[in-house]
Amino acid sequence: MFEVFKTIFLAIPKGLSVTFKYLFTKAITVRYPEQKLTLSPRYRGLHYLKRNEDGSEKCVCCGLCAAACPSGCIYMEPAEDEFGQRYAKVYEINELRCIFCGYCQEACPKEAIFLGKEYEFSNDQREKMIYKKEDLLVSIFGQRMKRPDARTGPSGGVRPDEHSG
Amino acid sequence: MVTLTIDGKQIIVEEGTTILKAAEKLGIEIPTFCYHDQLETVGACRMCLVEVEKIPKLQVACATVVSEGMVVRTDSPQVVNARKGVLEFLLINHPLDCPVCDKGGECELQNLVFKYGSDKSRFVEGKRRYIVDPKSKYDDLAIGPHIIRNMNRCIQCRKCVRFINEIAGEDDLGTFKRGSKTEINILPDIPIDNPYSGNVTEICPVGALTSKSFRYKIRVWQTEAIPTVCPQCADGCNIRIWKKDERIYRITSRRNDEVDEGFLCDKGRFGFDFVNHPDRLKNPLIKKNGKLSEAPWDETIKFVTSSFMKIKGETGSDSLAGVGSGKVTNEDNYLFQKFFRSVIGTNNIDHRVDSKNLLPSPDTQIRNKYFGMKNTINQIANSKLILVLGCDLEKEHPIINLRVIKARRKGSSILVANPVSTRLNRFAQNGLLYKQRTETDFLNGVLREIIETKQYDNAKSGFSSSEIEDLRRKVSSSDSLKALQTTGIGAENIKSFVNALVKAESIIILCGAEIISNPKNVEIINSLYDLIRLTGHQDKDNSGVNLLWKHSNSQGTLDCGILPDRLPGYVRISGKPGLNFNLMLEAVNQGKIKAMYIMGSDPLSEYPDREYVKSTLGKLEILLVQDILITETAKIANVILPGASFAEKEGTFTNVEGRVQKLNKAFDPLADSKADGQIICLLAQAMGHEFEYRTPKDIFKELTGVSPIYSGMDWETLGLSKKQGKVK
Repeated sequence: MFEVFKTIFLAIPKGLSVTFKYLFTKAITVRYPEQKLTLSPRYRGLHYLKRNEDGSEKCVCCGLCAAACPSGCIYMEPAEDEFGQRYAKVYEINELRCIFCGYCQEACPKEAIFLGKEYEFSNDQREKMIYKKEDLLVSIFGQRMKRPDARTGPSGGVRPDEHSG
Repeated sequence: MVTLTIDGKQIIVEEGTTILKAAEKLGIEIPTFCYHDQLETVGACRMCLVEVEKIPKLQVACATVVSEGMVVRTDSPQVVNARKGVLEFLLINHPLDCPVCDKGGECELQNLVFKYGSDKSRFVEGKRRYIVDPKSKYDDLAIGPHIIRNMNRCIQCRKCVRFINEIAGEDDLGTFKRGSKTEINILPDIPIDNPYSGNVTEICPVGALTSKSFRYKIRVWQTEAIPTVCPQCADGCNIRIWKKDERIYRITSRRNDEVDEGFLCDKGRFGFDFVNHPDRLKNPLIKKNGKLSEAPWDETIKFVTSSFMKIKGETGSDSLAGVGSGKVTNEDNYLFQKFFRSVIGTNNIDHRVDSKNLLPSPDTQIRNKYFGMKNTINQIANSKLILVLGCDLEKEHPIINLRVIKARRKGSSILVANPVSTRLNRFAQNGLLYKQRTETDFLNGVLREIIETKQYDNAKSGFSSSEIEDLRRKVSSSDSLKALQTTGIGAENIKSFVNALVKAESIIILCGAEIISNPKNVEIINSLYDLIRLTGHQDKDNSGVNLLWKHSNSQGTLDCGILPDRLPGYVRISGKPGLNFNLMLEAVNQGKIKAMYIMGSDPLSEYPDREYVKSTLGKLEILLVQDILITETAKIANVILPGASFAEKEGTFTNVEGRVQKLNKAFDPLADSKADGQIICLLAQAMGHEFEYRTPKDIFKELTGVSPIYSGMDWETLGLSKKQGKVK
């Protein structure tokens, strides 16, 4: 009987005291999506593929990112362009499978692939989460080229290395 | 014998062995770039430097011969440092473009730099470039139909040039300029297009020479290598298929010193497009209202078996016939003949669709004259004289051709006699051109010259004097003298030909398709045996007459009893033999044969008289063709069954010297096609027979039990040990 008493009159106020203590401090949560947090400079979000200064793709499709990837989410097919240069005919990242470890960025010998700061790219269709090369490539100025999905997905014109969210 | 110590381990080797070979025996790896055991040692790369006690400087392991009491160290700090230094020098000019290089992942330079080299470069100067096109950033140059050269990556080991010169005996690749400007190149506007050019891409330790067909297709670590056997010719080279998913990306050699010595011809290396070809048959096809249309398997099987049963019931089982092929495996051929002999009940089986003149069938016990090769492929290189008769060896048997060139390099004489000039003639001591179909007259002339000038070896030949007299009378008749005029070969040529023959210590005779399908084939082969006997070589190891079959499994097809008069293992048929292909065609014309089942063969393209075959096969009620592509014969068939290619099935091939080698399955048969053996099993089961084989292994096991010449072979170890699998 005493045990029950102890639970009701001692433990519950003790627990609630924490609640009431935080009730009068500044809110920790933010009003997402109106309000957004500043990300850590080392945050790893959606991938992007860089270009050279002359506009050509940096990626030569060497396959090291795919070899380094622990979740096996990168698929690529190399080919030869009209200058005899090796390039990625197909370059796909399955963002559903990706664990954003950043190994691909680390493995890349050409400094072509980076993980940006975008994290708002959820989708209601699985196939749209497989990002093609066109979706990943940025312009010479580092801006997203394409807006594959109007509502979600990487938005055209934004800089994936600066833009958060 | 010399005793020496390498890294503290003692070993006894033969005198004249190099340190590299001795270390190899101990299992100690010494890195090399320019060394290849089939090529002359040059000691150019300095990668194999080792420390030898009492010699102040480091020595090259590949060229230093061992001596008694030598103490060698391959892992001392001095050696490791030297390797690091050599690699640093190589990397001065190596572009390190590994991300775009096709060799990346299997590059010897990459591996060794990873193991011994430094991760930092001390050189700030620009790298050497061999500019091909001043406008382009890339220095790739196509030097032949199959080869792309990138000189920037080259480390000047010159293995490619040495291979082309020494092994292939060609001169279309060479070294130009000197010192750091050394350049591997072709002569201006003469592309490298010899049939062995593909080997340089495999020999090259870096990515300087790469193949066009594999260029920028896939990285090697993404593929899987399946060991199997080349299906292109009867030599049976061991290969690896590099595949990913259901596609072949390239084929490389899997060295077997008994067969290919680690080299492939371009046909075998690059000729795999048919496996993934869009025209491959994917579904069974049945002709309805004059048009071939797709049908499901069960319907097709039902249609075929019911029509076979109907024909068998109406006019007897001998109104059906089967044509096997030298392109399918032993297991498929064995099942095929079993299907016809036990399910249908006829002996009308043959596979020799490419000739009107068939050789007599061999017997189990006596390895008679018409069997195939008497010698092994390796023995060819050891023979003192090689006579190539009626055979374009380079086209028909490229790897045997390499052995002939090897023998030439060792100092043997090569005699070539052909109706047309072949590329082997450039090595020939005597290259004769006779007019087509005058082989017998030419050989009679040779025999007569030997007998008349009494140059034959009476004691060793085993001929009695009366036999010699018979032979003399035969070859010296006025008819044969007159016939010699028609061959187009002068008496002088015959004389020098005979001179070379009688002087030789051993003679190997190689006969090609021209002889096998000759109208006088039996007569020619008998003359050749007389020649071997007259010169006294009939019992010698490195001598004999060799018939070189055409297809990858021609020998196995014979062994498995795709003959109208022999069971597997050349066991004689007790009753009446069946019809061979020529007689089958006659029987079709007489209306005696109503249905034909052709597996893997294409008589329309192969038979000498195309129109005759086409009109004859058109008269059949049922023409069932089983193949992987729409062949000419398949176009006139009533039913087509899609088979599987060599990469899609397990089984064994028997090569021209009788070596049974295993094929491994790289991936599943394309679309709805099935392995040939499986199709035969389905047909047999639909006709109420028990053909219960789970894998080709079961079929092979049964074959080894049935065939006396395959007995004792074990599927598991087949092709692993060197001795096993060779037909006695």
